[in-house]
Amino acid sequence: VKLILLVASVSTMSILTMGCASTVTIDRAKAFTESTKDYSENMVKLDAIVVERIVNFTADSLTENAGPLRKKEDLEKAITSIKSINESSAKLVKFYRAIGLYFEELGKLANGSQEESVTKAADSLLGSITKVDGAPEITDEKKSAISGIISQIAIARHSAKLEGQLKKDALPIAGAIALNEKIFNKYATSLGERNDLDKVKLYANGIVGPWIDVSANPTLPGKWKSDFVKYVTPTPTEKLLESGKEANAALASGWEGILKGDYSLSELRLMLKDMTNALDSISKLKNAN
Amino acid sequence: MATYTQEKYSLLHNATYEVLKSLYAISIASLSAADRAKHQQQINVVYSAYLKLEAREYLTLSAEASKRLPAITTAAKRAQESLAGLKKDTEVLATVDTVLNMFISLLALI
Repeated sequence: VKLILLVASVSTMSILTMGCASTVTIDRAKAFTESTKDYSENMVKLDAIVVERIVNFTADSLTENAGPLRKKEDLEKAITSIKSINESSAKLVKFYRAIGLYFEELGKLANGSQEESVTKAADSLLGSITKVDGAPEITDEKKSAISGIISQIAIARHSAKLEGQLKKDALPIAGAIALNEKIFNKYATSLGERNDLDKVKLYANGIVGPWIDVSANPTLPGKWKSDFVKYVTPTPTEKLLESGKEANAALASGWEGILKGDYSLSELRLMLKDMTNALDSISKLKNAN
Repeated sequence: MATYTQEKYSLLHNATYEVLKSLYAISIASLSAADRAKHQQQINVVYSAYLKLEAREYLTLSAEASKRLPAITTAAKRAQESLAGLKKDTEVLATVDTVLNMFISLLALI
């Protein structure tokens, strides 16, 4: 009798443990889907900022260097390049929207929805990825982690048939996460390099030039102090790139972390909040100008 | 013949950026009128090349571009290295002058 009771109690404990694990997984998955939705929205905002920065920087460069050697073809080349950047941007925004939709549907599934619209969203995401250049290769580790999380949600809430269907989505979702990181790095290069060029120019013409040219400028120009402060103070762009990189890394490891149960989603939320704040700072500065 | 890879294309982008940065680091007030015009022309060409490299994805390069880009990448890298040690603005302008036609042909190629 004792043995039967012991077996029964162990079985009950196992069921309870499994039940808890599933609940934790679903709660984490819900939180993760929310974070990913926020991340996609941030990437749409970031894309708009990058394109605007490129356009303005190009216009400034053309204006400042207009000189006597102005040629029509230089202008046309710049316009053609910008058009091409705008076309890439439109594709990327569709891609971010598709990621957002996928995670919204996955969130509904985790909340017990019986509809299979998540699979349609995954198909749509797959379609938008193929239109973005340079999708990186997906590691087996990433594939199995993503497959795992989707399966756990499906097993806990849905049938084995749906689980099989959702496993099919593992590859495009892994691709989307990896591609996001790659695109962010490209944005970081575009913004970071232009930021550096502005600082290099400011240092040469606004700070060091007047400082050492004592014979031509016995007193420093009135703008010197504000240029100095501007030069030594980190810009909102630098803050954005830092917080964005952290959020990216956190998002990429979030999948694996959910499965292992050792990942703090509050950190991811915090990093995304930093990124949103930096994006808002840049928008406010732009509006003030 | 060695294949022109995404990594080499990134090297070209980076070398072009470094050449542009050397030009931005020049104090315009210190230049003569003639050098100022030269500086303007160089920035126009190198920035256009930098912008075009940014806009053009590696995967969409033509076969002709892939064939000619290795030599251009080598020249751009060499210019980047030569500029790294220079201190005088006039030396920077003279060095960029030697590769300006290469950047002009890059613009026509991609």
